[in-house]
Amino acid sequence: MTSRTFQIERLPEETKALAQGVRKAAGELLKTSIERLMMPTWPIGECMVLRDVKFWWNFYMAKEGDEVVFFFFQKDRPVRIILDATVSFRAVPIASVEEPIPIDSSQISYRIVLPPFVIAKPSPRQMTELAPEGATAENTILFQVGSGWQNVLAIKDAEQGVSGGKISYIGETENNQGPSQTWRVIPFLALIDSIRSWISAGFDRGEEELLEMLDVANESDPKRILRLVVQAYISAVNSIQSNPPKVTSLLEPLVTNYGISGYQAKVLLRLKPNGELAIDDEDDPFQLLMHISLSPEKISVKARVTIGPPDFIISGPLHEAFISSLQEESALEEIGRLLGYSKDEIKDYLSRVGTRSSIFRTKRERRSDTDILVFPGMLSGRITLSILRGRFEVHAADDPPRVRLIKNSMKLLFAGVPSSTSRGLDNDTIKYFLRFVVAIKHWIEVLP
Amino acid sequence: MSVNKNKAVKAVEALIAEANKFFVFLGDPDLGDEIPEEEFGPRFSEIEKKFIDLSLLSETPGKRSKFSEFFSSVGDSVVEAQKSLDVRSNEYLGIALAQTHVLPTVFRIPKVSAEIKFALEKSEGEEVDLIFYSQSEQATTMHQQSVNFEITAVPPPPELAEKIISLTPRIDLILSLSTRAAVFNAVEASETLPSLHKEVLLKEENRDRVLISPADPEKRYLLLFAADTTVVKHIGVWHLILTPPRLEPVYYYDRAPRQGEVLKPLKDMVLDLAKKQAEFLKQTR
Repeated sequence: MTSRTFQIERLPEETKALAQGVRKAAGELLKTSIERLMMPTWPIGECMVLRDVKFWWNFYMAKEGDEVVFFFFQKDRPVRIILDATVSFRAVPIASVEEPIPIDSSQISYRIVLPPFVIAKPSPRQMTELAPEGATAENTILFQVGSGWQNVLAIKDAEQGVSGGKISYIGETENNQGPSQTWRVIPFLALIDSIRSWISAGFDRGEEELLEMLDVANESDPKRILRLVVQAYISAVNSIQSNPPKVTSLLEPLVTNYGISGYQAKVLLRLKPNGELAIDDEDDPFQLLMHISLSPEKISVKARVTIGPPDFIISGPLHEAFISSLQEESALEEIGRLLGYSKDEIKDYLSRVGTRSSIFRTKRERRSDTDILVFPGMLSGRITLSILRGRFEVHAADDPPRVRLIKNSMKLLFAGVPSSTSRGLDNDTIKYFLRFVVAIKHWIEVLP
Repeated sequence: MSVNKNKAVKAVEALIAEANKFFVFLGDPDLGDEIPEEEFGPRFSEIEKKFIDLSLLSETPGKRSKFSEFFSSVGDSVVEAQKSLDVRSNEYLGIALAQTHVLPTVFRIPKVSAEIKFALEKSEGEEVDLIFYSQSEQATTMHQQSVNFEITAVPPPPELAEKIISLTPRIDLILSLSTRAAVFNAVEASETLPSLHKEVLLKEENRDRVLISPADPEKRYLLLFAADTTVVKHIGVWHLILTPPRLEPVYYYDRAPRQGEVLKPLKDMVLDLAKKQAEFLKQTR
């Protein structure tokens, strides 16, 4: 019986098979059209050419012990946590080349586009004056969350979570008060605004940094996947340029050559706190979307990597579904009770500010998600900001997506005009941002 | 398709065992009204796995096809569709030519575009298998890959077209009026015996129905003629050398077939060709 899961190292081989399939298919089409070519009609015959084949190749990946495997059918998954992946590329006709020159991994230049608010190389002054005590480039990451050199959010030891991590905003460090701590709102509002701007501008816009991929022995799972997706591209390109279909000498002038164009991959990573692939929900996975695009540049090939938080939504069908779920009678009542307003006032408020809200998932469970909703704007002339936390049933894959608020799960974290001392964010919310920080930090660490 | 009974029994037994364990867990008096996710999830997951094992037994196998074979069959379909259109075009031309206000046209399929969803599986060999499930529920969940493609009909380069023509075995008929006139002049000028019946070829009403094929262009020709009568034997084949003009018999016009020889099919074919040729020549004058 055919094995249904394959080691990730076989990804290049499978991509090669697809690319070879295109060449072989083109040859078969030519042979099929030979009869048409020989027909004594005017114009003199015709032959059929396979043009512009575009693939969308969806598969799943999972961690099985130390191995990363991929498979085509979700029911074949070896463990609970799986990664959704899509590779798409086009096989396009190209001009004939006498001797196609194969490409290899030494020609690949890896570039990563970090969020524009990440300070990849902080100055010594920023580190000493704006970061927590003991901060170094290795244990701390800085975000530029406003104009001016001092508008910096610095996070030290993010891997240690809410109990061990240290957060400073404009040089002032948060005091860890324990499990029931609530955190200042302003620093994270600034970060939320930065993330929101980044998402609305598009993840793929930003400065490119060179990404070193030399340490194969110690590479993380995400980088291993990145490297193999790129190797799959190399296999596809080399395979489609060589191995012409076997046809008679008469048909050889009609054989079309193909190249690979528009190769890209989207991999939805689910990561443990240490940045490795999660195996189970007990790993409390954090989702990061990795988007890879490959494009030839003269004698080299650029592999451009962008990363983004798919759990942070500011627009789109899923965002609309969330806002719609809050317009239900029971939800309006619940929010009204929390904020101290009537259902009608809440309905009006949501209809005005809904499109400017930010929604992000802080916890994913089997049948429900915990989400934070940030609503900016006036409510009956008074509140300018409200932050709510609720549990929702989310069916994101439906068309259109469906969301339902779980009754009595809503909690108000903050409502009012935030000041520099305003608090309200709970540990789970901060944990989301720390996980985001860890995910970004792992990519920065391999910058030269 | 059938399911092995023993395997089905084992799968159901395993599912019931997991469900029972779960039921015992739910019946625990120390369990509160709200079950923590970390307690519920793993137990439910085990039931899910057993259910998946059971569902795999009833999986209807999909139709498999190698990637290249799939495109080849698409190509076959396009060629067949074009052939049907060619027949229709021919019929249409027959009508159009008879009506001066109607522009003659032919119908072609210049391009086929398609998007296909399918399942993918790697089997033996270098290629991947495309799998198409016919049951709609299976198709919805299993057809997760897609390919979007175009097949375009293109004429070959002129030099290749000439090469194909030269290599393609065919019988040409001389339809050029000037060449036909030269052939008939040579027939008239040639000294022949009465048994060759060259008057049949030269008769005005017969000329357009004389099939002329070049044996060696501009030098030698084969001439075929069949009389549209019920007399079977009136079909002849001649060999003509243009310079100096010389007509030779290949098959005598008044030769009766030998016992067992069936001339009618050949005569019918020649008559049919001759009729079409005569129509064509009439249009060109």
